[in-house]
Amino acid sequence: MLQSDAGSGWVKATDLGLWAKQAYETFGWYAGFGFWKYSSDFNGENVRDTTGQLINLCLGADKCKGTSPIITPPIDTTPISNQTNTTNNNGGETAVDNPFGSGGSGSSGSGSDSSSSGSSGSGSESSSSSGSSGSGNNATTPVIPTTPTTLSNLRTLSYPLKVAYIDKLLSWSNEGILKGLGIPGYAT
Amino acid sequence: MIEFTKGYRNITSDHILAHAPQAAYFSSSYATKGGYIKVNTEVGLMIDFYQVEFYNQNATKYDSYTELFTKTTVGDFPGTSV
Repeated sequence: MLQSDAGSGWVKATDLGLWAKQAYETFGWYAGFGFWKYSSDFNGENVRDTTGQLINLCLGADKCKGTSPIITPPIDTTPISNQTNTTNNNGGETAVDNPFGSGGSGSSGSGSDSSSSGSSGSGSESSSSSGSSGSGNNATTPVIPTTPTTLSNLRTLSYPLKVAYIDKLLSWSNEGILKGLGIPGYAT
Repeated sequence: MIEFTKGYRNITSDHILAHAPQAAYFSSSYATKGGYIKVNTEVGLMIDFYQVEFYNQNATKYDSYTELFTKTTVGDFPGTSV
């Protein structure tokens, strides 16, 4: 995210990350950050740099678990079968996206324990090793992450959710946003 | 906002509800009719978290640790830091 992306209030992401650390250590703040998404920050480096230290601090602190429900995936202890690595033939591990990665969303106000929130939000994506793919063969079957089957019971959306990518908004108007979201009656 | 929040909570008690006000609305000197101080007093318990906007705030830039987190003194909205 560049200074040219912002109006007033832009600060360097790493500086903001240090301030977050200082606020946590000084008076226990751990809410988190949220940002608009810009094409100059395609890989999410902004939220990574601002929330990284705060997330690390929170990982070892019970208080960061807050009042929001912490969703912990059940541990699947059943033997894994028919899972092989695409290219790994040396018994190594295959990184998969961790759906429960420490998300740093929110704003200066939402929870880094969700993150929140937060907010806001977006999250610094983390990866974990599946540890299940060290079969040591050359099979080409894709590795399928073993998502707990009960996950759907824990995270259920009961409302319609619409996600849209707006490449550019030429005017900050209700109509412009509705068009960008493809709302019937406004989209062209 | 107060009525909306009450109404929303009446029909969706299990959803996470966040508000994203600009920081100035938490200032009694700026929001002389109550602003988010009033909102928070009346329905704050129905709101899971605030995603306060600290940007595009005229001359108040929140561009230092002190300004953002502890004591905003410069600009149009003093007293609105975290």
